[in-house]
Amino acid sequence: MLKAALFKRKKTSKPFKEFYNEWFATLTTTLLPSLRRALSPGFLSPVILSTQVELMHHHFRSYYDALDQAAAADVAQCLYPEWRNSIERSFLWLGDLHPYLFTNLLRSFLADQEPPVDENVTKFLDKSWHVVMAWKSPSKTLTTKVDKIECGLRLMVPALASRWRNAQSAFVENMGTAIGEALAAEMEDMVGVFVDANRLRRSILADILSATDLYQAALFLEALAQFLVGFKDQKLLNEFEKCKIAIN
Amino acid sequence: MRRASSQSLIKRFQESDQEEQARNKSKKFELKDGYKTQQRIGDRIDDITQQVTCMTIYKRKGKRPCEEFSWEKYGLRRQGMRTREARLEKQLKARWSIEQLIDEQLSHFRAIYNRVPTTMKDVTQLLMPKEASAHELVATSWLGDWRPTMILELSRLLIQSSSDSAGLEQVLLQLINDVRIEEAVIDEEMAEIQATCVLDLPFSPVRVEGSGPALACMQSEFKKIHRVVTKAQNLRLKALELVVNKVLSKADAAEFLVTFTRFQDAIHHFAVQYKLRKGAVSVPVKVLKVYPYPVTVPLAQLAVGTVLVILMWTTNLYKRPNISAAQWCTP
Repeated sequence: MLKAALFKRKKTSKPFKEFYNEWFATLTTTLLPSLRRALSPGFLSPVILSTQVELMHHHFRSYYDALDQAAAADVAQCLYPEWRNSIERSFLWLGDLHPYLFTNLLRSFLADQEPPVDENVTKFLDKSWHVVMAWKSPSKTLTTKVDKIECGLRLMVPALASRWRNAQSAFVENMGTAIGEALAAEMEDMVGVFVDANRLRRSILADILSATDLYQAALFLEALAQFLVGFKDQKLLNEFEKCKIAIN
Repeated sequence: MRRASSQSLIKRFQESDQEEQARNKSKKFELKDGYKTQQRIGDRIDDITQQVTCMTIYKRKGKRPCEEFSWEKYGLRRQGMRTREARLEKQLKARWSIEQLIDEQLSHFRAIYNRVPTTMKDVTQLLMPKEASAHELVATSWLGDWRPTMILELSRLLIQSSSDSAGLEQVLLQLINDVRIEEAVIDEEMAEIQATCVLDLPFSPVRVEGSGPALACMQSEFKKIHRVVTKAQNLRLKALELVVNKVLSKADAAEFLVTFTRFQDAIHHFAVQYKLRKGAVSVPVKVLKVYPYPVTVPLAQLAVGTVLVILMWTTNLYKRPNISAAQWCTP
């Protein structure tokens, strides 16, 4: 009876791999299509678009929150995630996207102000006027804010890389004692580094969304989600795995 | 007779020293001189024997072992020399074999650090090797293998125990500083690739259509990573070779290589055990609660709000605002 009750008890935790797959499925099948729908001319409503942007942002935040919780349990598996595929693994910085990637994506929108006329017409048919014009002649305030975000990043990113290096150096110094203790101490240091890296990613996202207007934020998040989805393209992944061509 | 006995003794020594005589003729001359001295001593003893009784004979007999002892001492000295010579020879051979072993071990590391990935998949495998546990990678890894400054730190740790280490430690600290700068430069290059991949990968949201096949585009990105990884491997090898060939003495270098290999093994085994103990990383279930119908929530809020507003306006609970068409047109 007690045994049955114990087995019937709800699970309190879940493997992170499972969480990531579910998180990714929600992004691909629910949030990204909804955001795209909200950006389409027939469906365009600022309220719904705003909700979609908020939901997408919350989805990213929840991912980083979960990563922080997982890191507290075992940071090593978060820094070298087995749940990422072969293409993703080469582009990871401290277990996830490099913070510069967010600002680079934003910069690409700022730079792409004058598309060719044909493209403009096609875009206009697919998307509403607000969406097409979202990144045309961005305000000086936005450019200043992006500069400020990048300035902060330039200070934070090398500091985090240096903290990882120092943790490894401390590990060598502590190896004279017991290897288990030295490794545990390093993992503790790395939890701090990893959580701070996630905090940085989260704050960059929040800064970008607060610096941009609704349409700009929606387009930015759509591009970011599309990029993440691109990593999982099964056809490309198969080609990548089977490719025997020497890269040098 | 006595002379004969001393001669036989000399003969015995001569026989025992035949090998040395063959090697060194000068030693033979020394022996001959010894023989003459022995003869002189023998004559003197003969004179005393004629005057003194058997007691003297006893004394004379007592003298003989003394003479024998001196020759034995000589033999022992020779034997000692031979032992020392053999030991020196052995040490010389050992030194050569240590140098050979160091070279062999260094070649082994050279083969590992010169191993550069050929395909895109190899790059990923080098950066995140399947055979290594995540804990091992976190503890020591930098772009595929041991961080160069860690190799130098380990050698610094070893020389700290020796008494004459102040100068050497200073050299190592300078070296660590220089290598750290080179590491930072390589880190920057890698960060540049990781940060710009959002623009350059084939599935990039801002990529211009028709900029070549997806796989070729991917190869171009991995070529950049390949260059960075090669630089990292070269720096690692450079750090190791500097420590072994330039900074440490042969004995210290051998000790360092032994410790380095042992540490690698120990960390690997411990990390495997650690991972087995920890199991797969998990998160609390409450974090996972994502409502799968996001549009419904704002729609429901809008619907409830609309009903409430209509009710309040129609029942005059709240004064209905007067909105004219002119107000709509106002920008």
